[in-house]
Amino acid sequence: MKPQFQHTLVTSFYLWFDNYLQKKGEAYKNTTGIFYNMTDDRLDSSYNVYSSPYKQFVFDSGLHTGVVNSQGTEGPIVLDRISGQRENGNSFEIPQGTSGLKIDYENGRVFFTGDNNSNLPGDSLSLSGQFAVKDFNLYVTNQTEEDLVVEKFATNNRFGNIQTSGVAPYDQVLPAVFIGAETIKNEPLAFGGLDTTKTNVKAVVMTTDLYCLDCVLSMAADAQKRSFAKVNFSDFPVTEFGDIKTATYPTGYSYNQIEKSNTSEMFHIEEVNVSKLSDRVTKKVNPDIFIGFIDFEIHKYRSPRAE
Amino acid sequence: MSNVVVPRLAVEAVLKQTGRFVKPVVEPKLIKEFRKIKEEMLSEFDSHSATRELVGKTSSVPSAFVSHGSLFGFIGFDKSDNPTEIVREMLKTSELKFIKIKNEVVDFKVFYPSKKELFSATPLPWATGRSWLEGIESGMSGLGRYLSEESEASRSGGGIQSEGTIRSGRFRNAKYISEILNNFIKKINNLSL
Repeated sequence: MKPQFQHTLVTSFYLWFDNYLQKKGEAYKNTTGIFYNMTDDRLDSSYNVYSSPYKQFVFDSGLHTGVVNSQGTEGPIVLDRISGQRENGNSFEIPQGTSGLKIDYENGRVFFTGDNNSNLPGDSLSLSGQFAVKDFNLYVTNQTEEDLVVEKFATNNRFGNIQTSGVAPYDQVLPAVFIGAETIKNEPLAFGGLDTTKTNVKAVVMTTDLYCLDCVLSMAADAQKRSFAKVNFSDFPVTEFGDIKTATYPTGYSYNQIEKSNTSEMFHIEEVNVSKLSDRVTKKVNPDIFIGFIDFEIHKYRSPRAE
Repeated sequence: MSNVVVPRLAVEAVLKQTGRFVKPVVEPKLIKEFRKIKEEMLSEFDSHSATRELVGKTSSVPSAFVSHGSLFGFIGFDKSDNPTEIVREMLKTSELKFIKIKNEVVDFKVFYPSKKELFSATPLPWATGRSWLEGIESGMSGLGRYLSEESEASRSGGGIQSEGTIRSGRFRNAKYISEILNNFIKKINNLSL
């Protein structure tokens, strides 16, 4: 089946919300981190896998503005190379796209097949890189709100005692925002088959930090009456490896650029409701986690029967 | 017989006064009709299965909304809560008001609580930014059961007595206050004397 309206909406919303948190809320932290050797049965054995202690990495290179922000940086650093030392002490640097280097922004790791001379790098390299890690991972989910709240997710610490090993891939970890489109309804708007498609997108925010929860909820409430650009399902910027689609984004992915070029078709956030899970319930189901809910009502004017 | 010509200004002068004479005749009839429609709205609200289950609190009969326990317990109300009371009180404030007379036009307006106002007045016990009244129509998760099963064998009397991992089952949403208000508005629009 070809992608439908809902796929486009969720793709567009995901990318907008990710950008909104990072751009308006500076919801990231720049860091220099070590990458630890890991194994991953899901990948081809020719790949050497090295993982940072964090996930997810920021992959939007358009956020680096050149203007110093409240964090004292000029925006998030998008990992585009790794550097390290071989066992014999020689240092090396591999930029993205060479030596088969792939950067898995979703899982906070890199994997590659060989070095600049096509030599296999081995398993005991000391690798490091500079990257921005998101304050909130963002996941699209089909799980119900109740299932999400009750599930015991692992927490991937951003501050304090950082683990000295790579983070396990694929599992969803906190802090995170889980989003999902719940209901869609077309309501007649004008002659000629023009409808308002109303979609309810629900987000569950889960974190160990109350300050961060308040930040996200406050920003979400302020998003009422904003609009965001349509991004086609096929233009989602990362591949199955979690790396940037270089064919679609040859100079790097930039949401700002997408926003500038996609001004004709917009989604409109008609209403936003935010709420926190009461302490009485939190203590019962997940005492160490603060949980918030965001209900977005998104409108799009379209002619569904003509598409 | 010759035609009688009434001057235009005289007609206008009479028309201008019509409203004053029409109002005392029309108003009591309108109020009577309005009261009837309002009573019908309140009775529709009272007899709705959601209202009846919430007023009843316990799960003596199978719920139309949840597969286990009661709707009252599912939402997580406290035994002392009377959640539908505020909705009924707000619906009761609906009124017909005389606004003005302009020439032959007598202007009355019907005031009633909007859905938004009703939703704001009906917070979920476990997430106060959300409305249980809206949740009955659009669906809601069963996190309220953790409140109901809290302490002394469920204070709301109808929660699910279970530990941790058992889910509360699917919630069956239904048309509720929107339908009641729509029916009310339809009747008001069709009101004739």
